[in-house]
Amino acid sequence: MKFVRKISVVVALVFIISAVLTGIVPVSSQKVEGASKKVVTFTMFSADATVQYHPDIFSTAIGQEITKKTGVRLKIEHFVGMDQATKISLMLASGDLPDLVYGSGEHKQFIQNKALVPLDNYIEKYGQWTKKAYSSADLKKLRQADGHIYFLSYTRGEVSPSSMGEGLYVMIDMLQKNNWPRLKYWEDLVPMLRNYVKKYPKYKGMPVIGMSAITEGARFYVIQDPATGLNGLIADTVQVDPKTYKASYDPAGIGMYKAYKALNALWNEGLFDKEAFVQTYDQWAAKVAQGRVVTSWGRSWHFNTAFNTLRKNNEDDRILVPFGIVFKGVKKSRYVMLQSIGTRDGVSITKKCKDPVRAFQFLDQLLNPEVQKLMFWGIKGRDYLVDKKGKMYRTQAMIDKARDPVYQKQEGLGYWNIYPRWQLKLPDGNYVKPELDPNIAYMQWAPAQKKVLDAYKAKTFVEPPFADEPESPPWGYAWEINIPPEKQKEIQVPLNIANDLARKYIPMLIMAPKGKYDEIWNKYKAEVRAKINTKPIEEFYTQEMRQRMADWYGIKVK
Amino acid sequence: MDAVYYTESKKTFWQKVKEQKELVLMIFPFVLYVILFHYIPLWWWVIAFKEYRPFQGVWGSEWVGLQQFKDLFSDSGFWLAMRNTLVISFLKLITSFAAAITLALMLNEVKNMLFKRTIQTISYLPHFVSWVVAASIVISVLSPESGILNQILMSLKIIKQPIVWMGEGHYFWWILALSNVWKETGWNAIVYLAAMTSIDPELYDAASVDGCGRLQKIRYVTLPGIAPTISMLLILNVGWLLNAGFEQVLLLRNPLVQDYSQILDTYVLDYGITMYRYSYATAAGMFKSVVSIFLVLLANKIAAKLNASTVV
Repeated sequence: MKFVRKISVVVALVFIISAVLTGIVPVSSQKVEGASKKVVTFTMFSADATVQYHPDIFSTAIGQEITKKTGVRLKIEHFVGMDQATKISLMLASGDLPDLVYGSGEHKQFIQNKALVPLDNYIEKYGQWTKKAYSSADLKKLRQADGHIYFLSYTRGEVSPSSMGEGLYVMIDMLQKNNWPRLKYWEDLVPMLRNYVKKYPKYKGMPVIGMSAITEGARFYVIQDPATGLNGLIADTVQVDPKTYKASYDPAGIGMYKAYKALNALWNEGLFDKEAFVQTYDQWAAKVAQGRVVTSWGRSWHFNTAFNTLRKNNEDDRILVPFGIVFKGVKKSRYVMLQSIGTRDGVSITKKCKDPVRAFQFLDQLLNPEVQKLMFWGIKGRDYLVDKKGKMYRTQAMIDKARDPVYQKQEGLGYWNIYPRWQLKLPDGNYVKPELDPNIAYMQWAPAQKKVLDAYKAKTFVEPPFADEPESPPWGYAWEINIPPEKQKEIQVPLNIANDLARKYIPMLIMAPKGKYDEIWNKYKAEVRAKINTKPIEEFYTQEMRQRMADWYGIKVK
Repeated sequence: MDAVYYTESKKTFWQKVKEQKELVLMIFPFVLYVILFHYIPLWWWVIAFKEYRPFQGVWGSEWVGLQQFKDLFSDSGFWLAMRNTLVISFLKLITSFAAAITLALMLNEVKNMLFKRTIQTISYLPHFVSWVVAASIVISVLSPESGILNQILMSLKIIKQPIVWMGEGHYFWWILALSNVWKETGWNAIVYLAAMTSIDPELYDAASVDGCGRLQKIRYVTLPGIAPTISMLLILNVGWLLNAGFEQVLLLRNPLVQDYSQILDTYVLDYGITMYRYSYATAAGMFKSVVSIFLVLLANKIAAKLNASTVV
């Protein structure tokens, strides 16, 4: 018995000690590398869920080279899933922050909650490369409402010739069978779509879908695009008058009635995807990958995997290409929007960072052209070649290799998008990224996509006839603007309610039985008018827009 | 061992502790756990009465009194979420109880052990599948074009057009309830089966002598035998009445059924946490907890009145 007693005491003690220890002793996150003592390891959080992420990018060939050059290694935690806001909200509330952070669409919350280190002084003192890569006009735009700079934006306002483009995506096969028509107006597209689906109702035994769209969860904004896109408006929170910079906001506004009525007509003809509002994103992507979606709403990045599958299966004529489709009477399509120097996000240093100076020096060193080449072009001789004039280029074999996900993962290629970078070209005249080089951009398309470009005598999918001049409003975009916490209730809450109403009514409008459309529309409009006070929202954004014009260009409007 | 200092009056207490020191030591980690993870977090409820901003800290944030609650109760969205929560919970409670008890009763009558074990294993397997997987199974089974349910109904000529099961609010409530039944029935039945094994076999023999048939035995012996278990589980489940199944709803909802799928938990997420309104979210959560406690006490009272076993 005594033995049993002793044992139980020991067990209990072990329990207590382990409980106390795990509770009290903080687990050190700042491990010093054993072998090379000089290498500093920073922790980082990246909330970019739209790209495929690398489990440990600094263990790849490119990552190791970068560590060699900068003496820094990042331990990156990636956000997985769809709901960034929840993750970041909880992270901020707990105060458990990594050394570096990239908040993607929610980055402003880090700024707002004063979790970041201002970089202005560091740029002044240590930013030898930063000052070369970012002009003073650039830095002016990066200043946040409180006058400080918190990140170096990676969006630099170039139109990439390799961009897949934006708009309504249309299947290549239909274009080919119609002898490459110049599509611009919705009114011309619909009869073509109708005939095509009638003529080819099945593909590989499965029904062909006239038009589909993504509606799931946070990606619901895709089905809000027709309202702005078809009417030639910018898909932003508010619409801004280019003369007075006055913002207007109307959740049941101008374009919506017409746009959803047009989609409703398609629905009643059986041309709109019957499952559009109950399918998950993956189910939508599977349909596209099966090659049976003729047209679809979606943003370029949503299509990537589906197109790759089609290409792999040698069905690349079932790939979709974008057209800036508008209603007749609209002059210009505004689907392609240029992200000029982004005021929204980038990699920032948090106040929890153990050595902010070193961290900033790292960000600065990333702007060293040698490191930039590593990040975006890869390793010399393997991923790119240099000709006698010093111009960097890739062979077709290298381009194909660089598209291979397995190779990308092993090499560490294509994972460096969120870090600071030069605009368009490096000081030695080479393009910052291979994709920015028009020749390389052309070579990477699938054969059918090349055929489309040739047929329309275009070099890219972001020029006529696929798109009009890209939109780049001088005041930037309203979605980038921080709503201060004290205005949350007045502005963010009604915006959310409006979004919920849209979520409820847009499907109802599109699916309305014949003759019922107006009834539902009136109900929607009445509910919006009753629940949302747009005035404070308009006033807030007007003031912000005018402030920006004054700060960035010295233009003052009374 | 260090000397233990104590006053004269506490002597008996410390003596008792000393006598039972092993027991006290063994319970200590769990008490610590409860304090650390269940009581200390309650302190954060204080932010429900503030306008909490992480960078100002809890004490730096401004006191706003009952403002958050006023906002909460004046929001029609909240009451809609409340309605949906209650309806969904009730549906789930009733269906899952009925299904689990029925399954247990039926399994109890099976005499072939191999068959019984197989059925039991198959029926509780879905319990171990996460809702992420289960939700996509449900969605694809109910899908209008490729879903197996629509295909069966169509080939049996019961319906002409495929039905968009996930697109109708009232269906959605039942889909939540029935998918929950599919997933959890086997698991829930285990408790009842265990309770049934403890029923004295002599009671069945006595019932046979009195001329009871199978159904009558169930009616007069088995059911009364597991009644205490049923009432106890009912009371415990009433405490969860305001938890309508966060994961399940989050993964199954779609824009078409928005007005029927918004429950308290998703409301807290959508209008609180994702909008960085920590105080508002806390106020909603606090309200939920208080109502839940109230419900448990109520259910317990009723059970006591009915002379069944109680929990508290």
